[in-house]
Amino acid sequence: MESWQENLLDRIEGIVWAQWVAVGASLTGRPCNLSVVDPEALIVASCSLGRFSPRLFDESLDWTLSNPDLLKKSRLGLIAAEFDGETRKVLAAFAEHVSEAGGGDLLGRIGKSDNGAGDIDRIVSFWLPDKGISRDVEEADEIFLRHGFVRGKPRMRGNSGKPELGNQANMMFRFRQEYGKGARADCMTYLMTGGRGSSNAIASRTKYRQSSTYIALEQLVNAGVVRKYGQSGWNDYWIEGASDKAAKIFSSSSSLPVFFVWSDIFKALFLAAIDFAENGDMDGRSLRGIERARGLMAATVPLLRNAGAPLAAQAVPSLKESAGEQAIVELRRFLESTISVLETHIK
Amino acid sequence: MGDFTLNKERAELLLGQLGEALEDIDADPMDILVCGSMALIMQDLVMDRATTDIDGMGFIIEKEGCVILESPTVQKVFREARARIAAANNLPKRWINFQSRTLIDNGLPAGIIERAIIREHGIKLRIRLCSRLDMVALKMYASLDPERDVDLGDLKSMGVSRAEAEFGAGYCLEMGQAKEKVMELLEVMGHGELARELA
Repeated sequence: MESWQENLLDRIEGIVWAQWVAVGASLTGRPCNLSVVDPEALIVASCSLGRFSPRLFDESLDWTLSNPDLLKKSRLGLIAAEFDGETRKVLAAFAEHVSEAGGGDLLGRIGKSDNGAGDIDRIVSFWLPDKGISRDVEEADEIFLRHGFVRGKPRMRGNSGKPELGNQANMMFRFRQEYGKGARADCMTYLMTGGRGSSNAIASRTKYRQSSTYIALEQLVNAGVVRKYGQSGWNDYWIEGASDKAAKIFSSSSSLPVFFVWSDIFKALFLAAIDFAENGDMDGRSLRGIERARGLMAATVPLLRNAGAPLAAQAVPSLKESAGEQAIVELRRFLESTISVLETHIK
Repeated sequence: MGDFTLNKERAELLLGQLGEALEDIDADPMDILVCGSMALIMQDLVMDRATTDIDGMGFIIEKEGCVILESPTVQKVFREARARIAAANNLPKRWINFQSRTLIDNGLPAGIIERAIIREHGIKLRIRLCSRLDMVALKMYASLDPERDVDLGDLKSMGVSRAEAEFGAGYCLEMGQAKEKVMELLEVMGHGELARELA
């Protein structure tokens, strides 16, 4: 029988999988179409959560090799910087593979040492949960090994396609085509899904620097695309009638796709997944189990509750009220309910 | 935290966690003599009873081949381990405390350590629960304080036997309590005959 953690991991994989299907990776299944896919966050998800799923990881590598021009490399670095050092090392190996196979420095500085590569203090199994390094190190892929991971050579079959721009989940690609890859296009995506706020709030959701976001928003205001209301140094930005405009662009009468802060969501889910992979189930009688649950709650709840309107609406567990074994119960309930909300907004 | 209560299951859980925390920091093994209501609750000597803390009387140490009860100086490692449990379970900081340490100075029933019921909580924590006989004596002594109704209630629900009451009365007198007060207590406990014999 599948354990609670295995079931959770399967469901997380399902969410990431549907997003890769939407952007054109060579995977079967229904594509995500109810929330906006964030391509850079999705690549970092593959470098973290993808370590639990060999097929998904290798297909994401293949897709990136076919579509490096669709990505904003500096943003990939900014998102990866919010993840742990091990994920940044995976990303460095990922980038090196893409560059080697594609010929050229396709992902920019991502593979360089400032992203965590080069400090190899131990060699670990690439795939999670770690069942030990069974593969002979001599047979392991050289690039991954250089970054401290043992796994076979990735299979890049060249079957990946392009994002289908009629799918509103690919709104970010659509606006990047129109406004160029960068803060302007991604701010447009955020605002077009009904989002609004200050440049600071929008920067934290779109994962750009506040200065770039401010410049992008002001350009959009000057172009008459975005509205602004300012008061004592604080500006609120929005698009008037975003819903109608989006419906016209996508020839769709359905409701707007949801803008989730996927990088924060993937980070939170990876924290939970890696904890379960390393420590197994949480025993409610044990101090360590309770401390793990409380630690995870403190790390994941703020990330998840602020990662999109549907997630903000769910009941949030409180550390103060989740004593002892109850912390484990509450953490599980919260993670399950988060996954359910995300599943509802995927397809 | 204001509504915090401990029952038997929760106390055992917390002591298990305390043992785990002491193992984590590789502390020296600790051996604690527990009295108070929790000693009764953990031995099922009173039913449907909860309390607000675990009363440690002191640490038991071995000196020259003898086990002795030492007035506790709460070490840093113990305080830290106790704080971890408090944080994980939203408990008051001193959920296990040594407020009953004064009993050591007053004098304890002879043989209290030997009669104590031993419970191991991992390899670093041994809890000794004062035996029923000793708890009767300590509760009788405590209930001579007119402000402590709870002890008398515990004695009533324990169904104290004549032999136990006699032992308790002897301890109270040894501790310098007035004979009249002890006789009065015996009457209230339903051992009037023993009270009259004492006269």
